[in-house]
Amino acid sequence: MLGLDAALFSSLGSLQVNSLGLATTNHNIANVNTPGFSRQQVNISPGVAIPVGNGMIGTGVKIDSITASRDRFLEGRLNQENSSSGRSESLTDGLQQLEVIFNETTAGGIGASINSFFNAFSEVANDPSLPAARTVLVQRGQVLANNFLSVSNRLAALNAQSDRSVGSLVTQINTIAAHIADLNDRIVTTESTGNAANDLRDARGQALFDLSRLANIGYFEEANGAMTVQIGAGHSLVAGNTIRTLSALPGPTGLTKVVFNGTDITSEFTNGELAGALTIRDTTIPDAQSALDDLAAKIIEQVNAQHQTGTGLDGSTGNDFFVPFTPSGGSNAGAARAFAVSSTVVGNTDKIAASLSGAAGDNANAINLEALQNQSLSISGRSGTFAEHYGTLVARIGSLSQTAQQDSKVQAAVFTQAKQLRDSVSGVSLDEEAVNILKFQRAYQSSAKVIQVVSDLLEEVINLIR
Amino acid sequence: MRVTDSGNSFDFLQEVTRLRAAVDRANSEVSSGRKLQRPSDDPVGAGRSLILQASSSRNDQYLTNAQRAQSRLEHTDTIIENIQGLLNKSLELTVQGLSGSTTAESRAILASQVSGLRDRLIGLANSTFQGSYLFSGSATTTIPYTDAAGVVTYNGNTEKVFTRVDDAFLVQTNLPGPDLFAAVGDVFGILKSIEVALGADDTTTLQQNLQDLRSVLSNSDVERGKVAASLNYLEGRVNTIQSDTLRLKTERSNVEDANIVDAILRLNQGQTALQAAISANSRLLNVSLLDFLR
Repeated sequence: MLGLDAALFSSLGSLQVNSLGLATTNHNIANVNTPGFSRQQVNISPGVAIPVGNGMIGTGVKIDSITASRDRFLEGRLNQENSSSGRSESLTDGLQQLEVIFNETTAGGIGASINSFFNAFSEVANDPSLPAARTVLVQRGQVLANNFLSVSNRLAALNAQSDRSVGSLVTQINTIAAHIADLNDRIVTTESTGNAANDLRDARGQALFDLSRLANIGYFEEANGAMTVQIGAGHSLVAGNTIRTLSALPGPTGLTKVVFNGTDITSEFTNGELAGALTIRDTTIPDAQSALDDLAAKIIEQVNAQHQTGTGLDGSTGNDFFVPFTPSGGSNAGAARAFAVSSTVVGNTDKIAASLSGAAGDNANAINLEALQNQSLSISGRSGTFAEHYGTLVARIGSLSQTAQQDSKVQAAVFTQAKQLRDSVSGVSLDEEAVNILKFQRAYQSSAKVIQVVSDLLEEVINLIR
Repeated sequence: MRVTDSGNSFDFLQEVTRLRAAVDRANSEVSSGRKLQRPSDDPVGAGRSLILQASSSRNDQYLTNAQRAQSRLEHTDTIIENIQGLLNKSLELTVQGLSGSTTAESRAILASQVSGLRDRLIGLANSTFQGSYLFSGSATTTIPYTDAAGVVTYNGNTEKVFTRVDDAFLVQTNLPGPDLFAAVGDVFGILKSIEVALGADDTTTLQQNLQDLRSVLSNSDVERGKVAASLNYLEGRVNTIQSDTLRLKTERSNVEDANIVDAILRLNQGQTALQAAISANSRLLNVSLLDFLR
């Protein structure tokens, strides 16, 4: 009766295997939308055959393992592209906010106020003894100075915002690192029993994906299954179940620096959202501010120098029109903030030096002052009028933003491609799972039928005895 | 390559986002009429637009300057015309005084007439334009000519005043009194002398004064000619500025304004593409093998 017994047992095994297959299929379907989930499959093989007389009889099916379909190279590439996407998107965000500050295509700003300020000198020239024209000039000067101040303030606010995001990114990195360390611990424990911890590994894979968006990381798997994660230039963030956190500490300039184990590693972030935020904070905004300071300092210097040569209605000469700015150490830092019309001139518009001779109707100096706007002046090696210098600054910022947006689009396409490749290996296809359901269902039904047949046969045998 | 469900919906989302962005862009171009909305739309154009704005604002100022100079010079021209009228009248009276048939009594009457003309001339020499004296050089708040016991003194200066009507060109907008009244002899002195000579029946002096008055008149023609030349130049300049303004407007429009036809076309194309993508995907995402198994 060996044959019937064997058939009964192998059918039982088949029922178990196929119901496990159904369970796994169900698991896949349930997680079709879970980020980072890798499709799992039941690996089965035929049972060990037993020799019977002059042949071998099979003993059914057995489960070897349940494995997750994943390709660590594709995942590595996806994480890499994720880092680049994070960087380019945070850069684009920052630059788009920056260019709004310099957007004069729809409303007036520094450019328009430069024009109207110098035109006000023309109005004074048209009627040098008219107090109204002088008052307008002072107001236009104040508007110009205030525009420089308010743009500087908005730049500072944007910089503070980028700085805060550096702090919050560091917090996020630490949280994810702690999560990875925890998963490492559980994976090592689970796998020490010999089973693959597929779902824990998926969770860890997703955590690495999230982390790679924030910063440039490197990682490798230890023999025991734990993942070692390095950040920046190879600093070990997670090793086994322990982490070393990053800290966001105030630096010497008041801006946040990222510290690892007592060392300032701020400059080591070359990718991810953190790198984007740092570029905006440390390069883009300071560059814009310094171009603004240079322009402000030049306007103050030129207007004052010309103004000093003239004489006011009250006969006084050598007066400054703007509060003079003294560069410290060859840097014009702070010029845009310090921009203001001199209180002498504000207090008494007769001090405005429209004339050279001192006569009430002499407008020679006002004409010279007005002509400053047509003069080509050199600012950090580039020559141009004030309007041209400002136009260049706006064009430069626009161009940075445009490049970032284009890069961002390209990066999005590359990321999509990497994601498609990863999904083609690890993603769940419902059609495929439907076929699996059918497959396991039919096998289960057939095995059940075999059990019924064996049962019928055994009944025949029992009836023989009766 | 395996195609998966989550991959499918991710792609769909990306595609719809991209198409929506394009439609949104075209829509905002159509509704605002501008293609340059942020510097990054066209960095070079944004810089160029600022420089064009500066040029057109300067151009507007030059137009104001030129028009102000025009009205000032036109006023000056009218005053010189009146002055020439007075001088011609004085000339007539002097010629009348020199005539042999004129009696001493008539000369005395002529003398008082000349005196009246001289007073009116002083009045004209002290003419103002919008509150500032026309003939006192750059000392526009100082009354140029004062008469003390028959002696007229000039209190102004000889400075010229200019206005800028071009990046490189200045136009003189004033005429210092001495150029008109003292370039070839002191007009007020000559008139005083005529008055005195008429009263004293001194035809010899009168003869000399007649000569002097003639040269003063011809000098005034020269000065008036200069004013007319400036006015002429300004008229031409105003035309140039206005056509420059038009040119700058066109250039700015080229840089900043949307091509509406093109934008509407893109809006329609974008809408069509978006609808196609959505309807295709909504069908595809609905299809599953599970629907066909029972």
